[in-house]
Amino acid sequence: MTEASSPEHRADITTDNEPLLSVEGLKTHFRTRDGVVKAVDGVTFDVHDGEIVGLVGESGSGKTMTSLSILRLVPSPGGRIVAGRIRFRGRDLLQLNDSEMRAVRGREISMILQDPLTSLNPVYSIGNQVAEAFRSHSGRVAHLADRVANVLRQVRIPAPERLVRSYPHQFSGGMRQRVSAAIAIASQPKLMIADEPTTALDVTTQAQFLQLLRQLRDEANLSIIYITHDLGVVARLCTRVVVMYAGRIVESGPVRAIYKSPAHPYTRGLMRSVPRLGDDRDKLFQIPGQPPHLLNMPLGCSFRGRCAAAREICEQAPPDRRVGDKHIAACWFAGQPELVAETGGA
Amino acid sequence: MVALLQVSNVKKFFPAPRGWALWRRAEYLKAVDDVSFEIEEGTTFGLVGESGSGKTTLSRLLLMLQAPTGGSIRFAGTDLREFKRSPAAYRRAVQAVFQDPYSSLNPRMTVGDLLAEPVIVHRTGDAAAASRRVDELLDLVGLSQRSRNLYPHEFSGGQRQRVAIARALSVGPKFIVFDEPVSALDVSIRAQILNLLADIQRRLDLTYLLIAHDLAVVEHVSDICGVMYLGRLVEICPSRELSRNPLHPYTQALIAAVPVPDPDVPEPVVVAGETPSPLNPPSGCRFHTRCPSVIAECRSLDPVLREVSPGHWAACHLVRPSSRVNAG
Repeated sequence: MTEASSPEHRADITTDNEPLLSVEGLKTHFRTRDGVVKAVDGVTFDVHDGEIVGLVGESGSGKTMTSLSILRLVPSPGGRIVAGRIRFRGRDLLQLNDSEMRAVRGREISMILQDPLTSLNPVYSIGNQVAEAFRSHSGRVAHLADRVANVLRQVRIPAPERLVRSYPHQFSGGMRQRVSAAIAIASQPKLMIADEPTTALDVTTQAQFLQLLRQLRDEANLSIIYITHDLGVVARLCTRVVVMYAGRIVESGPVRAIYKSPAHPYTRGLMRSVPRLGDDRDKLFQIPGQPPHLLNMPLGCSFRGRCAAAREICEQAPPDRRVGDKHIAACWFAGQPELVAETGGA
Repeated sequence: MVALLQVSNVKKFFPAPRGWALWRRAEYLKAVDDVSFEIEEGTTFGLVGESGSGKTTLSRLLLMLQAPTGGSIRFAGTDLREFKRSPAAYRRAVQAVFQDPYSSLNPRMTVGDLLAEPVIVHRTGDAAAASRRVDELLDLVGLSQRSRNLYPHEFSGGQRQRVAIARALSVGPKFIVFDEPVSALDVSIRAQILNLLADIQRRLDLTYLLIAHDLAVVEHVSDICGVMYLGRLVEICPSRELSRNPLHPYTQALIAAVPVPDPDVPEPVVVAGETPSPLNPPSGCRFHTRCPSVIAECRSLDPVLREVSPGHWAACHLVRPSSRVNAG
């Protein structure tokens, strides 16, 4: 199946070049009445041209804060990027002034959010809102109506000439999300951040939207950071996976390596706790306990309180262990057979 | 075994707003249109379907929160209409757990009070008995005794859902409706709650109706699955057959659309189009506008739900007894 094998191949071609986006040692902290919340605490990853990177994590893992930090949209006052570099096409985004950053947002890096009903304006027509995306990035635009129709056609909205006069409430959830995608690609950005864009959609609509994202990646050479908690979607869509837990990356690597041989106990547990169609297990594997409170993080490995393989050494911050080609896990025992045994096989 | 719940030809129509055009014929949104099934005691019936399929409306009818437009629902042999005069008896026997434990628990009450309240309201015991009951319930759902003095906001989503489950259990029901019980929870917490539901069912011999859009969850938890599309049940089958032998083309499309967490599984063929408006459903088979194997009679003739093999029912013209449509 070409669809399934091509993405990884692409990643291999491009990894030698300089990455499109390179996040290094990013720390985004929030000052609260009760102390400092380290929402993002030392995150490092790259996104290459034409790659779809899945940022996987649960609520509070810092995946959304990481993406907001890339766009420098961290809620303020309270939140602040305290350390790190975000290199995008040769520039450090953290060094740009406000007007330079505004030129990057939406034009070079765009975003799609979970709920298109709240991100689209209910009192403007679809056509008007897509046209605004062109106007705000390029001022006066010739043949605006044609370009609006073209970009709507690119996201597979049928009969766009007729539908430009419609309003968001007249569209279904899937069509609304297509409009968000049209607005996001109007200025031909290099990178799109999609934050749980299909969580509010039905499965058949979700499948159609994922297909659209793959087409946009191929047609527009778009790179995508896809934020989700759904391991199924990641396997379908992404070329590389970054797994976050309590503000840090616990594992990253090519999608096949992560799914076939997850090396971090958290990733392993997550994979085994999800029910799959057609499996006969009577009882699901369950990761005990809850994620740690961000105000009260344990020293060392943040997962050790829930980990069956935890030892004394886990009280020290775990090293990033290389367990395969571009496959890294932040665990003292990553790649060792005892770990596999203690966290219950594959 | 005996059917604890019997749903026969149940319909629920909502009048659609006509606006100012009072001369126009009243239109109805047929949220549930002629649905029949049974749930046997001690089993779980899973209901899947996309938004607008009518699964939540159906659950509201079973919970006696709304009266059906037509048809009948019998609980333990008694028609729901007979419970109308004394609904408390029905509410003791039938409870519900909803998706969002943030909005279903009163933020101003401690967990102890939340769990004792139903016992006191239903007069199943005095204050001392209620307090003992709270102890039992906390144990049953795996919460510490310390929790009784805490408020809902002091819990995580998973723990809060445990409180909601304990509250549903407090009056000793026989039947519980779970409407999307894990979809608001984090992935690593979902397995804990699903295992807890199975454990409680075994220990207390309960009967469940589980509504969820996640097919893998429904298949895992249920004994029998029902698939809804635009107000109709299009397929009923033992859960083991849901993914292994789906008969209705819509079920096949749903199964194909579920993203499998395995990058080596080939990309499925995606069903085209979107669910039509339930205000104006297609004629004949309601799925014919999107069905890949549509034939002429699908456009005019409404297929009936027929038993194709023992325990496996499908409403499709192409499904003959012990055959399978190849809808890709």
